Amino acid sequence: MISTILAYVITLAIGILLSLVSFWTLEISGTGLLYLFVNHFFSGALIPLFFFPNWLRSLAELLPFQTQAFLPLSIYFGTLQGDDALRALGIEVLWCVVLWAAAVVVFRQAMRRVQIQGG
Amino acid sequence: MTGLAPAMAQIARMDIQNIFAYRLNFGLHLLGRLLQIYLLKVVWTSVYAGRSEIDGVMLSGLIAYVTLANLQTWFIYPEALDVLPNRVRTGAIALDLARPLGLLAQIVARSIGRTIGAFAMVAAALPLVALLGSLEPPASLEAGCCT
Repeated sequence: MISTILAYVITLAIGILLSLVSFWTLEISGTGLLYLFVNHFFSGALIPLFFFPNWLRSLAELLPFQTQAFLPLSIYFGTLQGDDALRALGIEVLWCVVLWAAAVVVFRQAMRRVQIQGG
Repeated sequence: MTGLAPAMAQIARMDIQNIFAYRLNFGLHLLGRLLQIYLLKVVWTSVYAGRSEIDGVMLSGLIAYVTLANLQTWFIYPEALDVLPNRVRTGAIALDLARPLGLLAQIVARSIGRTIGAFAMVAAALPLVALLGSLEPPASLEAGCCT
């Protein structure tokens, strides 16, 4: 449950970060599509990460997407227990902090770009 | 801070209402995800080719994993990705910025509302989910820790 809530917080931060790009580019449908594919694959929703070849799994573990499905469900199904489960939660907390800090910084930059005329 | 939570709750409630107002559209989104789960079940069953286990991974467990993973990634989908760029493009962002509640808090509230609405839809569709995919209780429940 905690892991799923953390997954939600991470997903929200990623969503905000990507959507803030629209303050610079106006159109982000391409970025959104890329995100959906990369996220779906590296979250382990299509293929669990334990079936990935070693090099691809190492890459997946460097990215935040595994926190959105693979880690919470590994805890849910008992594949990760004890210290391993705690380590997984630690990874999620770390990504929460990093991504939310980034989201706040980018949000402030985006607000500097806003110009509203008329009204 | 005291005014933040009620305002966020109100915005979240609006988004929940929005989901139920457009329930057919949202239901079709969910149906699309359930179809994907079913197709993944077919593909993985074919990959296992009659075996019940590969590398210590049971087919039944794998299908339950794929079902829950796809439902989870669906209901935690960040709504901001669709809403915010559209509001920036159309200029409606000016209205959001004029509200007393900060834009970031509004985005968070809307996302929470969307997730609660999506969760309710998934809960209503659980029999169909079980039919198309597979559901298993958490390991902690099976181990008897919470009974």
